[in-house]
Amino acid sequence: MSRQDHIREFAAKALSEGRVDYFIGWKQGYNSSEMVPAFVKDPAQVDELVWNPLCHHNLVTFIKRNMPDPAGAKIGLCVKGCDSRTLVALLQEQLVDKEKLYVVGVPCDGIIDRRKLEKQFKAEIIDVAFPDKGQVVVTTAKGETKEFAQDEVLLESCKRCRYPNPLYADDTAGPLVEEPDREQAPDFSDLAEYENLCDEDKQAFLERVYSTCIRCFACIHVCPVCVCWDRCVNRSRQPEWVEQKVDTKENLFFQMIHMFHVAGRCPSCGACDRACPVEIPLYLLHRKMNKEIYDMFRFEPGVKLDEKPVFQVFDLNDPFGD
Amino acid sequence: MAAKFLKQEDLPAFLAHLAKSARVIAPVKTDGLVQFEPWTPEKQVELEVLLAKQSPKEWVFPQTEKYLEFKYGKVMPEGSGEAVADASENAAESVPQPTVEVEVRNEAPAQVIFGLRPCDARGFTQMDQVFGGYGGFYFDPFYNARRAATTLLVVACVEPRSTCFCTAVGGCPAGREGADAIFIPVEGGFVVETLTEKGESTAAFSGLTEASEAQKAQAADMEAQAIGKVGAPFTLEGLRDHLHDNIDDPRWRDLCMRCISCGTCTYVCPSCYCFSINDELVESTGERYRVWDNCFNPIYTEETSGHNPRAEKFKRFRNRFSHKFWYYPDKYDSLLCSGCGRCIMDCPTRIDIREVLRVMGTAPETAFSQASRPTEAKAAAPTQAEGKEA
Repeated sequence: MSRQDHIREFAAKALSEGRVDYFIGWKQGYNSSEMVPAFVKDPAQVDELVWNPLCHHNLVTFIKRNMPDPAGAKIGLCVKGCDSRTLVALLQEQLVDKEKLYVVGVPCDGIIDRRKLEKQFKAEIIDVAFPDKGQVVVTTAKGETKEFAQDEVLLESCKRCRYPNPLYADDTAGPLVEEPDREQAPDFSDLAEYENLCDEDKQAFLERVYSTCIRCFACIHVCPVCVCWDRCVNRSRQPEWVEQKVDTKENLFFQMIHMFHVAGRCPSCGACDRACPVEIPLYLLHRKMNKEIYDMFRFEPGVKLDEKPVFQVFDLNDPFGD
Repeated sequence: MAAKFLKQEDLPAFLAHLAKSARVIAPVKTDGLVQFEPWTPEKQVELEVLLAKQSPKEWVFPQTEKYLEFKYGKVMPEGSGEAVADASENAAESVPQPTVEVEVRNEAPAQVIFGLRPCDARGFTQMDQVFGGYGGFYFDPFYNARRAATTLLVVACVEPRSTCFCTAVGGCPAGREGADAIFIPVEGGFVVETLTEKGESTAAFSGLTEASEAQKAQAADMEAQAIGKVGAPFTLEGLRDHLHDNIDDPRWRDLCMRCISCGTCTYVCPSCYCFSINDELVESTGERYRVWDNCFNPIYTEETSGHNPRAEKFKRFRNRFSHKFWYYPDKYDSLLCSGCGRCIMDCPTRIDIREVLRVMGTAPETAFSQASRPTEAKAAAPTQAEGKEA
């Protein structure tokens, strides 16, 4: 039985038993090259739920404060490994009610980077298919097809995933995938190029990418741990910290505030990076933040349900201050 | 004016000619992202990608636009000499009076936007209504100064995307609405039609030749085949009335479940124009500016009292489509959508405006799902006049 079948079975059962008011998974978007979040209320509709390497959305964002509709609804949702870490972060802080959730964990062997695929073609991509495991076949509007190995076109975050199996789930969609070796500390060597920039170059890089920010707040809203999303300090006018004016300095300040507020709860799942319409390298910057946190506190966000969030504890034994 | 022809390899020289008398704005690809930006000769204009990430509206309606600068001061009243406030009846005249100096900023550099698509140009004509005093309403001096100083040179679309729907809203891949001149790609270059005086004078370039009959026929063929590629996913017929009747329809809540209430769709849209006005003051010097706002912002309609008529996401979602296809056409005789499809492509969860309009363009649903809120008995359907006040 495929993971997709498991998901559909779990969803149908939870809906028909009334365990949930609606079930959140993924379904096809405007064509077969885009998957989108799916909200299913009727057990007869579970066949629209899919599971494939395009299912990149972190669905945990839809259980944040003021997202469920109606408020207080019982919600079923699918989580990949990275998604489950954001859910664990919310549970650690008691920001969501476990009793209202039915979580289907989906072990994941990697999500592909559609943006990377798009840049390989001039014409519009209209179909992405997965005929065999590890195989990605892209078709464009001009009828060109090209095949890729899944490993060649993975999201950056998937290339070094340490938690491919969900860390919290009521049911699991199929067998677990092989756990990577976690004896070693997390590998942050991908940040070397950025870290090796001198201060002026780093400043120039940040200014260049943040000059394109349009302050749409997609990053804030799509982030599952950005729970103040609709009352954000970044939008406050009385008192005001970040000006509403959109310029590089204000954009950088806005993003810094967001990053510091999610620090210790963000597992760099990359949802923000994928949501950004102007392709600001948010994954890179949040990953850098997480490297600092690991170096300082040996802490990986959202891994252990009974762990306290890193900034709510004080431990004389942590490496910070050495 | 008779159709002209511009050779592909003469395009840089043409742009350089334009640049002699105006700032040239064109789509340029940087790090894989195409945006409208000021063109300089070392930049290559990107016309193979159909749409720039954002529309060119920010060049006439900037995201942040300074209205004025002001400075508070104080001045002693005349004749007071060194006197400070004393107990006499002239005390008030001895008190320093606050003053404010205001300098209005209204910049409108001459500019030519080259390489925008017909849907982009149509976005301008749609916004022209609300900013242009249509119906005796507000005339915006800032928008109109920039608009008057802008020439639009449209490049027609050869390969519409699957997300395009310009024809469903009365547009066309080679639409001329709003364009000062249109450049239709044919073999070896473009057939050029000037449509206004501005277009004619701007496009007066020595490198243009007369278009041959064959080239004109190619242009017509190109237009026809492009039109054939654009789908017709919904109908405008009866849409306004259905939006009226569907205000309380629970389908709005279903359609917006995956919306994350950000502002991406409004900021990439060629015709969304909502803005907020702020004063920023540091000690005694300040500026007043306007900045784009978006109706999905959770506090977009939050009032000073704290009341928010659109606190719920589905109300904000409903508002956006109703504004574009009902309120705005009622007031300004124009739709507020040109079918570019950017909102579909760039929405983080790919909400599809075509699906929304297709569903909500049908009669109200009488069966309510479990997750919908309890409804009051429906009042009689509002008349046109009541709809205007909504």
